Amino acid sequence: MKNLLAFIQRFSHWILFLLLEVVSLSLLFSYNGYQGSVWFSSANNINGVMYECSSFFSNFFSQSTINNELTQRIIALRDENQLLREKLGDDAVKKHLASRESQPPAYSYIPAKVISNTITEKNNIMTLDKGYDDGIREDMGVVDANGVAGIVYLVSDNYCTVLSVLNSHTRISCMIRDRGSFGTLHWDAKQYDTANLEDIPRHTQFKLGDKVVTSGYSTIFPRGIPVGKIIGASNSSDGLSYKLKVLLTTDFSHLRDVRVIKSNASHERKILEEISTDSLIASPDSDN
Amino acid sequence: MEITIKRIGWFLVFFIVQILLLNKIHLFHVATPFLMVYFIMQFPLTYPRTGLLLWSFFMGLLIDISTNIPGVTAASLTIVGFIQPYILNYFAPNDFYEMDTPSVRTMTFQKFFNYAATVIFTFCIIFFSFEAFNLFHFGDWLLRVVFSGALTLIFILALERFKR
Repeated sequence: MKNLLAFIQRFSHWILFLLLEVVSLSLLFSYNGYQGSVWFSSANNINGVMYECSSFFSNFFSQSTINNELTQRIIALRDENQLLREKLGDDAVKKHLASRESQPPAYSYIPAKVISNTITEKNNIMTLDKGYDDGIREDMGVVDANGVAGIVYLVSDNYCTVLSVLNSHTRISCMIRDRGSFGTLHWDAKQYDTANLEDIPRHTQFKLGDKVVTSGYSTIFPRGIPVGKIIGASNSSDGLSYKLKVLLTTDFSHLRDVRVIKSNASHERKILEEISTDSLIASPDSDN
Repeated sequence: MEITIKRIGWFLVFFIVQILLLNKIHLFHVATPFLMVYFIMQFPLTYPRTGLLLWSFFMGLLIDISTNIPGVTAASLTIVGFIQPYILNYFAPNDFYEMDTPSVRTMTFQKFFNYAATVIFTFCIIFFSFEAFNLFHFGDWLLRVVFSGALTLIFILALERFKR
């Protein structure tokens, strides 16, 4: 017994070292599947407050450039609006707006601010200053003024983390606008302004410069939110489909004001979709 | 007691500077300075090894939590905390007092440079290997190790220059 104690005392730093390594490595390997780990993410309150302070100061200095950009955007949108109104005629616009007001919107938006964001990791995650108390839930879509930004991952009371489009785990169902064929957007961890649109069928016709938008097949994003434009095409590794290179419209290096999309899709649709996913997982011959 | 409070102060300073400032630096998209390694480098040879391990682990864990990659920094910084005494012992000059904080003044520039470079590159190699677990490009990995290591070394030598 004395010998054992002496042994433990002599090698206590070895034992502690192994213990700490086991803890770190289990954090490293189990994190992705562990949804309860919101305290081990930047969505916890202490980090949230800290990042909020720091982003307040950095925003303070970048305010004027952002204001300029917004002004430019408003002018462009007003011109476009004017042009469309002239083409359609005022009556048609009024009629359309009236018909839209009569039915409840399928999606509503929760404005939020990005308080921490990365673009250089292989799995980039950002933190927003809104959480469960503001109505944010897991798996909601996040967009900024220019296009798609990411999907909500972990939610704490006052903050949430978002899997950015620049994350190798994020997959978003997209389609080529005006042509209808759809595929999956996936980031290849190389540049922060491009991603790949995969599984585009080989019979699809498209041009470089075609716009890519969300398909609306899931309830996360509504149909038609801008994603990017096609700047290159190649064959997929199995040769069965095209892989398109997409220049993203969202500037992830300057992300600040975003909106979280809350889907008001009928409860029925959600239940139906959940049941079908569950039954696919349950049936034994479904793993391909 | 006073020295422990001082250490806690430096711990917080290195932690906050690292996550709010240095982690946002990505020179040429590959180089990030890891100044928290400097905190681990400053422990004298006589410091209890279990203590050093705990300091490194918690520094790593806090940085991990703030950057949303749990485990990576904690695992690599704990390894560095474990081998720091061995590296320091190897590079320390003959007249080095065991209670001394390793620095250019106590070790001469040449020895301190070797010591710092060994610790920093060990950290960078381990850190980027853990980080690359799900997506590994060798060229990318090598660039990140070399440039981040070099940048960290420059930062630390610059800080040494300003130290009393």
